[in-house]
Amino acid sequence: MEFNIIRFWNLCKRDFKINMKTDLIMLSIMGLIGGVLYIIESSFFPILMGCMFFFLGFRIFTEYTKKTSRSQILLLPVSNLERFLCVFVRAFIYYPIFLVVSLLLGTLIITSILYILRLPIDFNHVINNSLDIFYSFWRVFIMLYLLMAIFFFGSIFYKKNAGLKMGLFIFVAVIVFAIMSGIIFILIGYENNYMSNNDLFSPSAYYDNIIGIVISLFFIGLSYLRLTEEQA
Amino acid sequence: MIELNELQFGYKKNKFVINNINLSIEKGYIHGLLGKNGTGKTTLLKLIAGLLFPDEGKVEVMGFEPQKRQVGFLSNVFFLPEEFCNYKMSISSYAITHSCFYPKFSQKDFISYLEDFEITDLKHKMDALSYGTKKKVLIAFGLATHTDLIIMDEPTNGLDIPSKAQFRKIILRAMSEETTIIISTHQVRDLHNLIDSIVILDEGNILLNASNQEITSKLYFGVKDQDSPKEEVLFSDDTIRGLEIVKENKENQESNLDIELLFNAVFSNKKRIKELFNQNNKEE
Repeated sequence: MEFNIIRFWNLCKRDFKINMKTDLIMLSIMGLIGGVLYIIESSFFPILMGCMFFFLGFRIFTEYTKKTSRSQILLLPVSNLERFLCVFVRAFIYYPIFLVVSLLLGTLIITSILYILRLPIDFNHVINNSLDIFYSFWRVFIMLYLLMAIFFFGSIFYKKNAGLKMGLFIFVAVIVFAIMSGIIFILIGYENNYMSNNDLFSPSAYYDNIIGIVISLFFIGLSYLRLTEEQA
Repeated sequence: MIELNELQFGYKKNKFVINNINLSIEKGYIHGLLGKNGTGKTTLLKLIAGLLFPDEGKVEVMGFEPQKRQVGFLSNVFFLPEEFCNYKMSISSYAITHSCFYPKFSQKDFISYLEDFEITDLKHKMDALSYGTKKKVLIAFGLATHTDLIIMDEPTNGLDIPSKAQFRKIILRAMSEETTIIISTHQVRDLHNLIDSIVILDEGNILLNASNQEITSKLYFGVKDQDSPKEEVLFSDDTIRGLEIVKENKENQESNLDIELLFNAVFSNKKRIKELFNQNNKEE
């Protein structure tokens, strides 16, 4: 696996330059809409972030979806690893950081507007609440990254409407998982009389996180392999 | 430079676009890849560039396997596709963001080639340029990379008549002993006086692979005189200059290669041409 830090940096700069305008517009809109929703009800944060990651999921491998741009990026003199890491950085570092920052700015801008309009709002409370965005993000960090890892794979696997198809895939997967869990739960409950044991299917957060990280790594690894086989 | 061994490729199972091709392309020349529409020219170029992976057989370019996409290979190959994406950046930004990946890129040459194409304002946005102008920018960029292998798929499509002449001049100016250029086109007249050797593809197979010298030593291109026996003529075309013909060069006469006549002669006498050139190769 070839890796050169200067080449990688140049690739990231190129990637940033190509996507900058659309990313900034998208993140600003998300920040403002998210800001309003967060002020209304901060407990919606995980769902809000999940939805935003879903929309960002459409944009992860955009250069690889169109035939014309795919040839250009695949023939750029960089290694597959550098190509992959560049997209990885955008999806897992750049997007989450800018999303949280834009949400924070969004809440502050919306609060300021409401304050200027002299609407009844507790400015200090909102400011404190806004700073809680970092904490809220940290709490759902693994879940969001798992979601992003699935979209990450989906956006290189599917050429058209990747986000939509992966959204549908997750929806179906959750329903199947719920039905399967229900069936197993009922079967075990009937045989072992564990129906009343609430702890049986609620492992500690520690195991949840481990499973989340393993699944994320699996999809990320799969995405890399898919990228090495990409043809134009 | 390029070795293709028993190469097979198809977009669908058991339907090969490239069918068992063996081909060797020499370094330091301009090679013309000709063929009718849909005969597999672009596919073959993509296989050489590593954009497609062979189903069977082997592709070796400068000692690399293109499908591995190693940096050493990619930094020595420039591929100009027929259709390209619209970058939302100026010409100068495009050059800055992409030239850093090509170690032999020359900004001076890039500007010089652009000037030859009469493009002087580098602040123009790439996505606002016409198809032809965008193509000129990419041709200039590709030649300025000074990669050992430059692949151009239908480079003259979209160029106006003066630009086509300019294109030929620029290509010849950019040539060096280390450079190999493969130009694919179905507009054979655009390559007049430009290429050193010709590969003609037909339905995924190679009909002809020969240097200009070899072609003119085996085929005669000229205007038919009264004495020429009719059966010797492989192809004829009635033009203002008279009846232009291609015939077997049994008397070792000197003539200038006419690519269009050759192309038509090859397609109207596939079997004879194959025999003629295979027989010559065996003799050599």
